[in-house]
Amino acid sequence: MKNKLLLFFAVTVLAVLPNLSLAASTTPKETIKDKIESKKEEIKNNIEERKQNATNQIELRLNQFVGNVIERFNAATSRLDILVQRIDSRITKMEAQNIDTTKAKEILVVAKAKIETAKIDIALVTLNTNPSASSGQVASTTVSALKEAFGITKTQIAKAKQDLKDAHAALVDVVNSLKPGNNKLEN
Amino acid sequence: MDTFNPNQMPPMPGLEEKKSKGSLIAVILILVLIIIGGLYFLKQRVSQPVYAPVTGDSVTESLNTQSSSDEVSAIETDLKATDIDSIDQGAAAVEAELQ
Repeated sequence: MKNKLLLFFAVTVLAVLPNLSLAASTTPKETIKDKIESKKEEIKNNIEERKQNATNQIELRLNQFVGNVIERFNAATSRLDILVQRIDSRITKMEAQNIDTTKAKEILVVAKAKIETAKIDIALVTLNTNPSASSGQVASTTVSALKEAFGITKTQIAKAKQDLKDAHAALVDVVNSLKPGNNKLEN
Repeated sequence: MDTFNPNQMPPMPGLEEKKSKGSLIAVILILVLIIIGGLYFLKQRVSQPVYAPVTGDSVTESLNTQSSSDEVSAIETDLKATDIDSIDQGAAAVEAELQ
C-alpha cells in the first residue's frame, strides 16, 4: 500500500512538473514580449498625439489669422462705404452750387460696383481644412492638408484685396474729379 | 496690603501651551490650503490656451477711424490713410509655421 501511494505520488509529480516548468519558461517571455509591444504602441500613440497636437495648433493659428483678415476686410469695406457717403454728400452740395459733377458721379457708380464685388469675394474667403468631410470620407487634418487649404485661402485673400484696391483707386479718381480745376460750372 | 484678586491668578501652563499649539496648527493648515489653492489656480491658468486678441488689431483699428467731414480735402486725407496693403499682414509668419 505504501509503495502504491509512493508510486502514485511519483507519477503525479512527473505528470505535473513538465507543465509547470513549461509554464514557467513561456509565461515571462510572453509577458516581456507583450510589455515591449504595448510600450511600442504607447510610444507610437504618443508620437501621433504630439503630431496631431502640433497640427491642431497650426490650424488654430491659421483660423485666427483668417478671422483677423476677414475682420480687416470688413472694416475696409465699411470704410469705403462711409467714404462713398461723404463723397455723395459733397456731390449734392456741389450740384446745389451748379457745379458739374457728371464725371464724378460716373466714376462713383463704378467705384460702388467695385466695392460690391469686393464684398462678394470677401464672403468667399475661408479656410477649408477638410474638403473631404463633405464627401463622406474619413476626416483627418494633416500639415499637408493645411498647406493646401491655406494656399487656396491665400488666393481668395489676394483676389479680395485686389478688388478693394480697385475700389479705392476708383474713389481716388472721384475725389480728383471733384477738385477745383477738374470740375466746371454747369451752363 | 495684599488683597486677594481673582484676576491675578497665576496662569495654568498646560492650558496656555495647548492653546498656542492649536493656533499654530490652524495657521499652518490655512497656509497649506492657500498654497494648494494657489498652485491649483496656477495650473488651471497655464493649461488654458492663449488666443491673440483680435479686437486690438491695429490694422482694423486704423481702418475703423476716419473723419465725418464731406470736404474734398478731408475725404482725400482719409483715402490716402486707407491702408489696404496691410490687410493680410502676418501671412508670412503664419506660412512660416507651415514649413
